[in-house]
Amino acid sequence: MFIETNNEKISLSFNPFISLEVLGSEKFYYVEVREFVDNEPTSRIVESYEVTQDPYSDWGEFDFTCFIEFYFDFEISIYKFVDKHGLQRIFSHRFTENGQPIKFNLHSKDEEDCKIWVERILEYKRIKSCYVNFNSYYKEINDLSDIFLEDEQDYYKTYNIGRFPKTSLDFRSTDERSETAVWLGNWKKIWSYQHPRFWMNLSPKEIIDDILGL
Amino acid sequence: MSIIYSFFGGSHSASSCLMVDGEIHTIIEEERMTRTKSGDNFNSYPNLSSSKIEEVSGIKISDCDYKIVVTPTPEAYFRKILKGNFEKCSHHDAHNYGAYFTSGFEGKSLSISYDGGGETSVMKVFLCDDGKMIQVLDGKLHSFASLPHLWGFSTSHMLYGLEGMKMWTMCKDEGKLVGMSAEGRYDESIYKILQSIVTYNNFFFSGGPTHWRTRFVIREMARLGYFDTQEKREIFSFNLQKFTEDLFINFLNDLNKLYPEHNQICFSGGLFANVKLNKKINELSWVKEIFIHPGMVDEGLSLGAAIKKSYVLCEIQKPKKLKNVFFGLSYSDDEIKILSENYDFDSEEYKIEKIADYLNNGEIIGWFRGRFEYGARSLGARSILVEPTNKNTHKILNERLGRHDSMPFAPVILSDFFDEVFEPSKSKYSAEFMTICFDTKESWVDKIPAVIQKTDKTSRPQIVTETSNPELYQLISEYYKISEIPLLLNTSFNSHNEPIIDNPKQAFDSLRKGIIDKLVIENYVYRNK
Repeated sequence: MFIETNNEKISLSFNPFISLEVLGSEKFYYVEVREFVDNEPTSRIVESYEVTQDPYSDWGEFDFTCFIEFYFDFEISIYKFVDKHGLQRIFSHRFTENGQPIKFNLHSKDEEDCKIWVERILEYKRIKSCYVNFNSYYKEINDLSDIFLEDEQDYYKTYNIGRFPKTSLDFRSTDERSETAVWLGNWKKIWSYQHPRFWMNLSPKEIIDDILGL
Repeated sequence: MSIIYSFFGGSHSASSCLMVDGEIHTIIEEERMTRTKSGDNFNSYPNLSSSKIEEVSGIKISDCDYKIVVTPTPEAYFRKILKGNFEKCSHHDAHNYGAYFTSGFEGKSLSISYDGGGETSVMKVFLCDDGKMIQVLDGKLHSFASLPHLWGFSTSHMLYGLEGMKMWTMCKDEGKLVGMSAEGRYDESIYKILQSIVTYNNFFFSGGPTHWRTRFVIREMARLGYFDTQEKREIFSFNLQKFTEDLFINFLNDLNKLYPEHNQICFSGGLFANVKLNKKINELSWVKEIFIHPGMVDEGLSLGAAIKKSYVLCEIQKPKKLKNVFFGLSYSDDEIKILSENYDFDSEEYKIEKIADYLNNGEIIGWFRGRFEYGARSLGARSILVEPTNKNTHKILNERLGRHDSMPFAPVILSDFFDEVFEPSKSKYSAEFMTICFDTKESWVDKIPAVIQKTDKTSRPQIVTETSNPELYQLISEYYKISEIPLLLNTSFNSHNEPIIDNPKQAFDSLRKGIIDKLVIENYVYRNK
């Protein structure tokens, strides 16, 4: 999605992970993703750093990414520095699928897997009141789609449902401290960016419930 | 009855500790062995200190009854390198157990740790009473802001982009900002900027985790020229100090409303390396006494973990005071004599009257006696001693040591004279470890200019007692007889950017380079021919 504020143009996507670009009058912007956890009075920062469009800058990334693909309740905010005042928030967006087009890629050739996953996705659709698009190996499943958008980026969110190995993108996947799990900022322990828990001993239903936060 | 080995590694300030039957046997910080200051190595492991402990104790780590690792030391290190079964001790538990059980506090007290983040927390608070500790606050890293982050990132960006200036390092150079802060003044804009990073309300420091948020703001300030000149740096430091004090004192006052009987407080964690903050806390009217653990930064974690285990084993049951902090390595006269033959020195036997005379004549004396200190300060085992009466000493000594600090030098004072020279008269046990600033009484300000902050007239005294360090106590007493000054300047025995020295060779090298005029090393005095 594209958003324009008074001075900035923002490109924000959750397909399949969080990525954000900001173009504007400031050389640097600071971006935070905060997670809301039930029964906790304050939000938790999951990822945060500076972005810049200046290719010669000593610091800051060109765009902001947080590679988590599975569901979590979060808000993404952009700040700028205002001289004599400090940090000032210029944009924030709370992730919410309600009423939004959501794409589901089902990565399994096992029909039983897909049937179970479709059932859970339809439950997800009922809870979120969203529009769903199915992309699977089975036409009868794909035909259950409410919506079909030509540009993949027009979906509000894309979920990959399957059994995925850890990848080189997994933050600190080689960190000796964690050995088998991904850590984010030393407080959110997950197995990979695609799975909160290791899927080996989980049923197909547990796998999709993990990914969709059901 | 047990033998406990504990360590911390994988970050800055790695250290090893051996505790036997509830008594501290040896503590060695890795930086003393590697000769790289802990702030310059954020990936330090206790490889050398653990071997040294085995060597001096004759006890193999593998034979210890209990082996403890302080988290978040990487598991691969102790599983694969040390090849042992290690119990884990939480980072902030280690801080707090270390502080409380060395505080000597009787009755109700608080123990507070606050740092840039260890494991999953930046702060923990315990209610303590009669040897029992109950955790009442856990400031989680994912949401709780860290004031030490503010200091760390400010320090590392203070000289950013300034040509010819060496960058300062977090976890090492924060004291320079503390030293400068006395020269600055209030600036509403800077204070407001700091408020945009961290706020405090109702036991919660919000804005956190503050590392990247702080880095962004401080970098932007650096980019916009907030730190371009010494005057600007001083103004920033003043506001950072004031902001820290304002927030933290509010927090303490809130704690006091909730737990009014807990009016003794022990502290650990990097924030409490800030001697001016400690001064403010000590001056609170409701505070009976404070104690800052001498190894308040992460170098104290290995000891804290060993203490916690000893407590669990009932080998330590109540807080007791440390007699001193001389838990490091020592060297025999024979070793020293053999080594000295490699140098072109004159030597004589140690005579206390002569050393007092040398000091009274303005000579710079290297002082190397017994086992080296645990913690960040030189407390009279590896010290440089100078008369405190010459106002030019700051310049002379900084030139000799290659330092450029604005931090004033500190005095070591005979315990009997503390109240005559400094105020207020409380938290004197903590002052044995040089962890708090005090006000200097007006009548002494002009007498001891070398150890007084020139603007606010504060000082950071170390109290020495007859039992904590008899040799140093006797020397100052001797100096007092001829000068009527009951204190000496005491600074760390190291050159700029180096850890405090460990062994005789490093001391001899300092003498050969002319950093000191004479070297007292155990029972001999050396000088260049």
